[in-house]
Amino acid sequence: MKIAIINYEAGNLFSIQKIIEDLNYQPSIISKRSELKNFDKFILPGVGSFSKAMKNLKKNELIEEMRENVIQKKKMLLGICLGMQILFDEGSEDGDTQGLKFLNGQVKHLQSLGCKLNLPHIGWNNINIKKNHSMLKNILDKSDFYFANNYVVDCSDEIVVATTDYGVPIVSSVAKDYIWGVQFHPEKSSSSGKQLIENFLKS
Amino acid sequence: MIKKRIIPTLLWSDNNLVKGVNFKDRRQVADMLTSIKIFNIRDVDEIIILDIDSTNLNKTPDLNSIIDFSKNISVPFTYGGGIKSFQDALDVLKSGADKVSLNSELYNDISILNKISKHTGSQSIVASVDFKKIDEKFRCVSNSGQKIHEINPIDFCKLCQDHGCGELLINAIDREGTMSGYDLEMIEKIRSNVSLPIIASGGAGSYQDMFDAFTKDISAVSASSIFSFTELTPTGAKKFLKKKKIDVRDGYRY
Repeated sequence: MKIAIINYEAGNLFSIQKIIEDLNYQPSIISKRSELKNFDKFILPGVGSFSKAMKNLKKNELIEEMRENVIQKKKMLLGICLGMQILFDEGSEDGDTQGLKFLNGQVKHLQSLGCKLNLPHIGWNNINIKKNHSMLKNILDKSDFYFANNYVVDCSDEIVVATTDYGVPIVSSVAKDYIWGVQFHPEKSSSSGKQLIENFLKS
Repeated sequence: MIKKRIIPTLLWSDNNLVKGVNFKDRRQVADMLTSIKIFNIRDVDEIIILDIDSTNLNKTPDLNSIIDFSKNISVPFTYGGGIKSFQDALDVLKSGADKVSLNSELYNDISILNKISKHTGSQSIVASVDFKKIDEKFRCVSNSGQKIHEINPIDFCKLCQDHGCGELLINAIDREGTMSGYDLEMIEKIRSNVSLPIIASGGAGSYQDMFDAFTKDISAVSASSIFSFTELTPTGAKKFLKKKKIDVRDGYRY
């Protein structure tokens, strides 16, 4: 199986690469359109700003190629943190920016959703499983994952797999067809995170 | 529910883990990478690695070592030491650190926080605020405790928050390595003036000290001496805190 980690200059790729290698797969790090051929699964990691991320994806001409692979060829995609957020319609970080629109929903600041706790939302927080899904195979309800975010996704309950409480309920993982997204960082979430990555690779 | 974090801080000097008292009398404890691997196997919540030589020796961060560390850590880690520019910070994050910790450079140019935050988001930036009492007044210090600044730690923490920092690592130098407890009074004052998550550092001597700090509504405690020189461990701390109704993270269960 060929796995592509998409590099759009948004954060480090070593951790995710290392976990995949530990699970005995050889991922490729892809930065250009021409390299994005013949892969079976795609991982879109990411830390940083929504608008900058979209700009970089556009600059490297990765958007159309991803759309073809994920939407038309129905290949699996896992978006992590910012990589999950940009899968949605629109982000409000430094002005409204259009997202990839693979999923329906908006990305909003936690404060605008009524969160009154200290921000950013940093640290280990538990998930509340809302739906049985292969993403969470061998992961118990209330398991802790590592979060680091100010923004969250606001979307329909239909695609929500798990939520997390931080003053307000926040969407911590979503799935629709071949597209999975997690707000937390599985690559930094010790054994639970590794299990989730394994679930993705084996689904 | 967000969990309260217990964070080992590793002071890094010349590839070794060292430990000092009041930022002096540094003493070698162990090999750095070995220590990191041990804490990782113990599944700690997070690790803070501070290169204590780089600023004073005018060195940039050792990126190859940071890459090595990142390949051996499966939980988040913060790196600090010698970050003097936006590019240094970006390089450190690209090398696998989840957060950069800034200290001395903040006193030269606090806008470095805005620059990094704009690019990576505030959650990747920790302001490390070292302070001590000088002539009965609290003052911020930098350059591994060598430079004293006019500003007090409360005002400085507010300033860091205003400039886009994501988390505060507040370190009482007078307590460092003394195992005499965190500076609860200062923690409380800073807490009531800023809304950022706070990591308290300097002085942990017992699990009770950690509990006391958590009563001040902070997000995490950090310790180094007790985890290097005593039988106390992050896991032991969690067991103690859990009994006292502090929400801490359990390891992976299935």
